[in-house]
Amino acid sequence: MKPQDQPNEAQTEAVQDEPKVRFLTLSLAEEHYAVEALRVREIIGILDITPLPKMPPHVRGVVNLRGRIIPIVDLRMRLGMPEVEYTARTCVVVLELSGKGEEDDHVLMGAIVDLVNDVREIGASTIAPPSVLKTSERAGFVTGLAKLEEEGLVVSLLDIDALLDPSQLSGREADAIPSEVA
Amino acid sequence: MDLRPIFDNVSKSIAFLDETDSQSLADLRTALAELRAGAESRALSGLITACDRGLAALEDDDGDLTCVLGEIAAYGAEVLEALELDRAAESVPVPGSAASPAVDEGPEAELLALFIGSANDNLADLEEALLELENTSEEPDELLAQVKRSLHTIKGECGVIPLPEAARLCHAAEDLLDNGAQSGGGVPIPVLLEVCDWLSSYSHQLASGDTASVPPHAELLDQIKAAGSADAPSKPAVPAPVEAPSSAPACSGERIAFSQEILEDEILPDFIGEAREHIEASEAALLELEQSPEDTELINAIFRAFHTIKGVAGYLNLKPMVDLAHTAETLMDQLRKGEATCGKRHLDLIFTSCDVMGALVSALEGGEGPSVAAHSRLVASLEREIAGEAPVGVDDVSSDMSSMTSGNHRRLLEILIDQGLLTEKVGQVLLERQATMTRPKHIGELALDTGLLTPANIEAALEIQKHEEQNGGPPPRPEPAPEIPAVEPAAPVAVQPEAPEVLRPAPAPEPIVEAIPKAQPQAEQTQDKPAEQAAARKTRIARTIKVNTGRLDALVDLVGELVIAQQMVYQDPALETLASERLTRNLAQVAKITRDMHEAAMSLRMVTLKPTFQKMARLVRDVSLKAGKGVDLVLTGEDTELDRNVVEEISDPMVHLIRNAIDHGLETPSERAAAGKSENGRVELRASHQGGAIVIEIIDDGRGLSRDKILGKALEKGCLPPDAVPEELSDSQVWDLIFQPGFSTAASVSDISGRGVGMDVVRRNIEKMRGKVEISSQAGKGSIFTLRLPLTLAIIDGMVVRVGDQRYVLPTLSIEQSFRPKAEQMHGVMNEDEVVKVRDMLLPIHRLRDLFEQADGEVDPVQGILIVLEDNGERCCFMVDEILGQQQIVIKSLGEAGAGMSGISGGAILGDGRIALIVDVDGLVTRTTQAAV
Repeated sequence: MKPQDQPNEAQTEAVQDEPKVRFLTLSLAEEHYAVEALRVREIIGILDITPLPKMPPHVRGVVNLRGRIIPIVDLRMRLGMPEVEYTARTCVVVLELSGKGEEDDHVLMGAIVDLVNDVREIGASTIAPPSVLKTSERAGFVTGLAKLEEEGLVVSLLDIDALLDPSQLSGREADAIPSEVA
Repeated sequence: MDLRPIFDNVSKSIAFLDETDSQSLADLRTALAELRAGAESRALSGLITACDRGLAALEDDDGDLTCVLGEIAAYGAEVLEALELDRAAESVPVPGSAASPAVDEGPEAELLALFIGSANDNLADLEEALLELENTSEEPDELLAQVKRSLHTIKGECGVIPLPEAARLCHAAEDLLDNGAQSGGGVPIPVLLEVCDWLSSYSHQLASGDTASVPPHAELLDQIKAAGSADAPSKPAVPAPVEAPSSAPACSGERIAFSQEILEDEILPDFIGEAREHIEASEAALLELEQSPEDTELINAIFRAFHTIKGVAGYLNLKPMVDLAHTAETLMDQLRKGEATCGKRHLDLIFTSCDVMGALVSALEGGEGPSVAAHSRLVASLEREIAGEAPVGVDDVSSDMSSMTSGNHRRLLEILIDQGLLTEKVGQVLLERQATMTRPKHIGELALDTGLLTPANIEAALEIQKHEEQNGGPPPRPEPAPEIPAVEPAAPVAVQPEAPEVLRPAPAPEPIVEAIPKAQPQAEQTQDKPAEQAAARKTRIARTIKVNTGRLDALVDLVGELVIAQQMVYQDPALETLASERLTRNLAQVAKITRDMHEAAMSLRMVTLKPTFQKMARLVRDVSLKAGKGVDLVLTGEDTELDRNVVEEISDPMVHLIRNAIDHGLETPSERAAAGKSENGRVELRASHQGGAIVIEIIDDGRGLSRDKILGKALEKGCLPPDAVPEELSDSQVWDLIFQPGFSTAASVSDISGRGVGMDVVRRNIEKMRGKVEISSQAGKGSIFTLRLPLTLAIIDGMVVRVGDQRYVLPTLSIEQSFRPKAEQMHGVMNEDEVVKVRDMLLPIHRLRDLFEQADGEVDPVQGILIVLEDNGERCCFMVDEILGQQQIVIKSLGEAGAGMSGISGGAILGDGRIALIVDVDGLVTRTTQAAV
């Protein structure tokens, strides 16, 4: 990764004035990702999952969210990482997809993640295009890379609609990225 | 022209200006433009400039609008003040502009001013009187006199000045009134209002000093002449020199439509809902009225319905609706006052009014409105009926020969046709010819013109007609007793259309003494019934309140979730450790209340079948008329309740089945007579609850399904599976064939039915609701179509089963039986598929474990449970580990995840919060039985 240049005063001012978007940062394995905060309906602990037959492996099944049945996807597996056991810290991020579901509400899907960090405001100027990613399979899901100054982290911004595209649940097996061999 | 009111308008617009509100800006713009025009006409150049500045400032975003407008307001005020101080002479305002020509005409100007003042007063009176005349029918004579007085006065004064053109106009209007009074027609109010407007604008023009020209009035004169002549349509053409108010419908040559402004009105949705209710109520009342034309309560109800529609429509400025409602209401008024007796013509007209009104409501909803022609024809027909004129020709809107029997006597044509002197076709041609004539000839004359008859024929027919009128009607056709089933909460609706028997022998030309009253004992019952029914109706009208259905659904959903949450608490194992009696008691109380609440919420969604049945009653009437078959319709169980959504979905299938029953099932009257059946066919609609489902039966006593015909058609269309042996097919399998797409045994396709796209759609729709269609039929006797539907779409009765760690739900409706097989019953076939012997049937076994690719679960059937499932005659066995119980399941959609899954139709949340997958039995059974070779 090319390190960022030291910002000069003019740049800092510009940065302060620009519109910022809020993101929820989360962790998968040792990697850091973020999703648009506006799309996050809620964050819940891991629930009992009822498996669905004939689904791609990353689609773990459905859960009962206060009377509403929503599908659950393991984000690690979706991005091709090896599966892990769920711990007490494992969370489910309930995301709103575009398009209408039942009862005039959005289509909801839950994504299983290892850790949820916090909500950050990220300005457009700090986002670099994802072309630098070496793993091309994941490139389709990442809209950009953002640098978080304080932690010195680079966060991959995820494209929720591409990641959780409902059509992937049509029962075809082939869509999940095969696990990386360590 | 008096500038003061215009300037006041401008000031007001400036004061109320909201720069962010485009409407307010538009208002100001208009006001300024008016002021400018006024200034122009008085050649007040300073004011013109000021207005221009104002208008420019409005267009320009940047400028300081308030500042400019303030200046204009101040300047304008000064100008007007100066004007008003010298008003009589209309002198020039301070900033200097050309003198107005009126100054020079001293004495004439004074006379003019007097005239203008007096004319304005008279015109005001005239307009008021005209408007009152239009809206009420009270004291028309007094109002008419007022109108004449005003017109006369204005005319006289016009003569003095002189203002010859205006005088001429007034004179023509007076003539129109006098002629109208003589011929007994109504007062042509719109034309007179036009005259009023013209006079008013003329007087304004005079007041502004322009005496040189006279506004164009030639067209107006023509209108007056047209209105005065005999073949005037009751509504003269409306030239629109000024932009028509937005309420006038756009007559784009074809259909009536309403302006965008109206469609966006806030109270419109409420009005639409109410209007539909009123129309439905009227139709229901009309159907009953057909049976008992004397029931004034019904007439009143219809009158009130149209009156109410008229009221709100008037408020919303919906002119076509107001016109129609007004004429319809007037007709009903005549009836309820006893000024006319309710005859078939009246009923037909009001039926048609309901239809057209319904179409107008559709136009309000954004759909297609009625054609302009149909609307005005209907209104014209209504007015003719009100005026007591004989109907000119046949309305295209209601149909042809069947409307020939009027109130008391047959029409001349019908008599001639009955006598065999004319054929139906010729009669039709004559009627059409009469309708297109501007001065319609008597139908007898037209008949003579054809040369098919002699004058003697016509005279004889006229004699008969006269006799019939005196004696209360033609000889009655023998009517079968309307069947009244033994047990029934609601009175049957017997619909007997008067499709004329055209080939009946001619009645004897001697006077027929008395129309024979219905001798059947049912007649007395029927007479008592109206009174009873009226009383019953009054008590049955419960108080209701309108609720937004979205809120209702949200409430029902919440209650559903409450039930689940409550169950989860109740079943929590931690409770058992607490062992508190008080806690147990309280929890039981909560459970009970939740159950009751659940029931109450479920019942909120329930509606009765009554409106649907009434819709069917109307449909039967129309279809039977068209098909030329008499139909007795019996409705049973209309108080049966269904979930609202189900009711909506079954409407179309029912319509289709009923049409089939009448069109194909019932024989023609002659066929029925030959078969020894009653002349009128009998169609029964029966609804009931049976075993947790709703059962709707459509029963006809027609010719029944023909096995041979169906098999023949199936062979022809290739609907039969290739290896099927026709003779070996059971009856129900043969009847099943009619559900194949593209199948139809109707020899000819009418617009009612026969296109072959119906039955498969019907079945698909019913099955979409998890219902079933069953047919049973007997040749020569009739058929029964049975629709079986779940009580609600969202809840099913399900059997919860376990396979490994997973839970599934099987709809109880599909389950025939369940058992644990013994080894002796099992048989292996080809070492692969297993079959089990059940009651002399060998059924294949399918493990749910395999179907849904589970890793756990029983493998050996003897260790598990076999459940026999049935779908449209096909059977198979599913194997599960254990049956957990039977309960009512709320179906939850699996959303996107579920869309692609075959074999699963939804999810359910069990009492312990776990999710069970609802098995799509029909899909699975078909798939597995087809897959099995």
